[in-house]
Amino acid sequence: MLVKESLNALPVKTYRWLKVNELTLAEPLHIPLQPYGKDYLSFTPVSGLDVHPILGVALSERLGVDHSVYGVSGELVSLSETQPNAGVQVYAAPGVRSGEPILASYRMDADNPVVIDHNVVYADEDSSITVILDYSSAGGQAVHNGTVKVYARPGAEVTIVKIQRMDCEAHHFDSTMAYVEDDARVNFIHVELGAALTAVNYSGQIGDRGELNIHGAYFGDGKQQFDLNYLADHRGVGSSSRILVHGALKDHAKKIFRGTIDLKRGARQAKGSEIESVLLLDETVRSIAVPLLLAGEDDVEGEHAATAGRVDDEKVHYLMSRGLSRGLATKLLVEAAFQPIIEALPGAEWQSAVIADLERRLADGV
Amino acid sequence: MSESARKKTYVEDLSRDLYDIHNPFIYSYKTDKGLTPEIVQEISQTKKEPAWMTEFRLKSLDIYYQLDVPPWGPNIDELDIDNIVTYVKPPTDMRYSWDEVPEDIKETFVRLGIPQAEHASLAGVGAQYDSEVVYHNIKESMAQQGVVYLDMDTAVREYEDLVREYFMSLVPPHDHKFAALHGAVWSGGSFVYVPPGVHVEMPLQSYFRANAPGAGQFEHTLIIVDEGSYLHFIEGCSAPKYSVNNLHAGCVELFVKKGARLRYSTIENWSKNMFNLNTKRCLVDENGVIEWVSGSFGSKVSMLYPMSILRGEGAKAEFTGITFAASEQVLDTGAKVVHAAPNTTSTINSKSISKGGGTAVYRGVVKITERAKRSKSTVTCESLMLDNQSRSDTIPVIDIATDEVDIGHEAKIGRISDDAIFYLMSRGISEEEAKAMIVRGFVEPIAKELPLEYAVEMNNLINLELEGTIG
Repeated sequence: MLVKESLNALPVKTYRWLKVNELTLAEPLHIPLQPYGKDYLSFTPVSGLDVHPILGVALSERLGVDHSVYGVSGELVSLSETQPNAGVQVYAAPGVRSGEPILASYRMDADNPVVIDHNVVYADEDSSITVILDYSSAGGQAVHNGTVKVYARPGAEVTIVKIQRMDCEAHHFDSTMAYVEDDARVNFIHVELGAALTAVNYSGQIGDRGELNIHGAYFGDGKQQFDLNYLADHRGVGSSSRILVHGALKDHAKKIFRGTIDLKRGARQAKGSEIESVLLLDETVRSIAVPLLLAGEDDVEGEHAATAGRVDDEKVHYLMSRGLSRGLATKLLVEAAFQPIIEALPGAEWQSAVIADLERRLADGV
Repeated sequence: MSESARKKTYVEDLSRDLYDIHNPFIYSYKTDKGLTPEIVQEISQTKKEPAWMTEFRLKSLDIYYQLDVPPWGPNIDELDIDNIVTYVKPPTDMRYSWDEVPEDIKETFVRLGIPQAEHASLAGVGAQYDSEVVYHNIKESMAQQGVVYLDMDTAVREYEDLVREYFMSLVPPHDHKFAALHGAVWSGGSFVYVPPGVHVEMPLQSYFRANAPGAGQFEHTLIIVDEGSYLHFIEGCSAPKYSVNNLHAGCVELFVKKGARLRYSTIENWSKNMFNLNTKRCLVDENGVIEWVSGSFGSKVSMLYPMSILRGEGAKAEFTGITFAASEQVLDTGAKVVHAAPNTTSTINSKSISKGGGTAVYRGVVKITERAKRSKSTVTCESLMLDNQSRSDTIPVIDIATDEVDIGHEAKIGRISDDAIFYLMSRGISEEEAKAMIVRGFVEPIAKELPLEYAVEMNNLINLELEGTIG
């Protein structure tokens, strides 16, 4: 399939000369349709928990639930829906807790360079599910295009963790959407470390007293490009959302952050907050932020904050006065900036894997 | 807290009585509706303009035909340019004395307090009525120091070289469709030149009044503040309400030279049938300062984003704005800053109130180019919503192309905090007074930036009335 339409459109358009309204690919990208032949799924069976690779009819269709097509683009979401070669569907019966996270780990290589996954996570009332999706690649023109649909029924809690460590030639497209029903909670945690081009889109519709928490982290060097789009769509009374994105850019890396908190009329006493911060490690980087705050309801609290700058010189000098080299001091401060996101990752193993990757990338010449 | 206790604070619409008095529509000359090369040529001929300006107008018209209406921002489908009269000449020539201005036109400006303010606290005044300036004057002492303050048409004749060099160089006609329209049919406005090292003690003020129904106003303001000098320029605008749509597509071009400082204050109070699609831009040289103070109260639709281009090292831009959107209004306002040189600084402070179904939008951009090392920018946007029929959106862009910068952006949307009200009430202040204090406190940082008489006016305009009773 050829990806050619514009991606990750901003929910409300602004000035054209800035070219921030959407991502337009320099040239159309070909996604070959071929099977992914490796095992990827592991989990501990629990009674009341159905876990299947994506085969046949998707869970959402079986359950007759409706979904919108917000995501990186309609075309890419539909590719995952209609021609997936991987994915996982999870159903948790009322009250069931998944215990250990369900893990789908993809290791793309020259023989299996394409993952098109369609994932559906349906957490029935008061159940609890954690799913970790891990994408990496070595060699070949790897492409990942994924869609995750989360249905958190009243009182349910769903945590989706994504770790992306594809190689520097790869393309990574990822559309994740959640229906957060009354009193439910959905947590998205994603860490983007690899790929030449990353275009991800996280969105959630939030019902009464529902909660959507998004933690995102990225580290870009070389010519990496990150296009990050978030939407918290507040529909319910007392709904809350928190978007927290931290990143660092080095060399010629480029990132655009589009984050939208939409407090719809009727979402009384809703609270939405959005914090984006970026460390600029070289003068050749490019960082764009478009944090939207939309309100059709007065009885709400909405706020966003965005900051950008270099690693704090004073802190570097303080650490240097304690005998650290400049490189090490900088490294520590970058890691510190990522800490809130790293802490959100489930388990020490994942936390140290991300830290190790960061350290390796920061090792040369910060 | 219980629902019944969550009373809304009612803030009255701005009283428009003063602005809504309209004079009979008498004109000495007007063009047909719509836009054709013939109409554009006619305007130029009527004004006896030099050939280059006629050509400029025709070229702009060509560009106007080619450009599309921006696909972002408020819906302006209702604006039918073919039904807008682009040029309306009032039945008088430009005067240097109020006594010579026809009585009903003079009366309009007296009601708005313009001649009184000129006498008391201004260094000069320009007054435009529909398409033409009817009065323009500057205090003798200022003129002696070489300060030029003229209506734009006179400037085209008397300062042709300067005008030709600067006119629409900062906002070129191809910038957007309404800039092109402006280039084609512009009329009136003010020209200011402040020579190097001159500190203009009292402000200059131009007031733009649109009286004709179904017409457009396209004044051009060109200000050059030369090295090391200072000027405060005040722009006011209003119109009575008509059932047909009016269009205002003015253009403001400001040039702040090395070490100079310009404060540009605007109180815009167009009527609710006005499409206010205005373009303002300032080019700031080394260590120069532009200070925008902007109050947007009127119009049906506004799209207004004063832009500062900091091209000289150490240049500074400050923007302080308040937008009050009441029923039937979509006020899409904000500020744009391009940091194009090292050590440049910008501060944007925007507040908005929306009520009664009105929509207030903050839209802006801070762009830091590769050259702008050690630049700083702080943006703060606060929006107060008074009911849930209204909307309030914040749409900022921050674009950074270098590392050594310090950028902060904050925005908040919400209603009047119950906690604050209860705190004040616990101190013995009535609920009404507490709410009134909070709304006044909200606009206070802006009010204090306005010239005194405007600050007083704004306070009177924001008239609080509280619904519901205590207990």
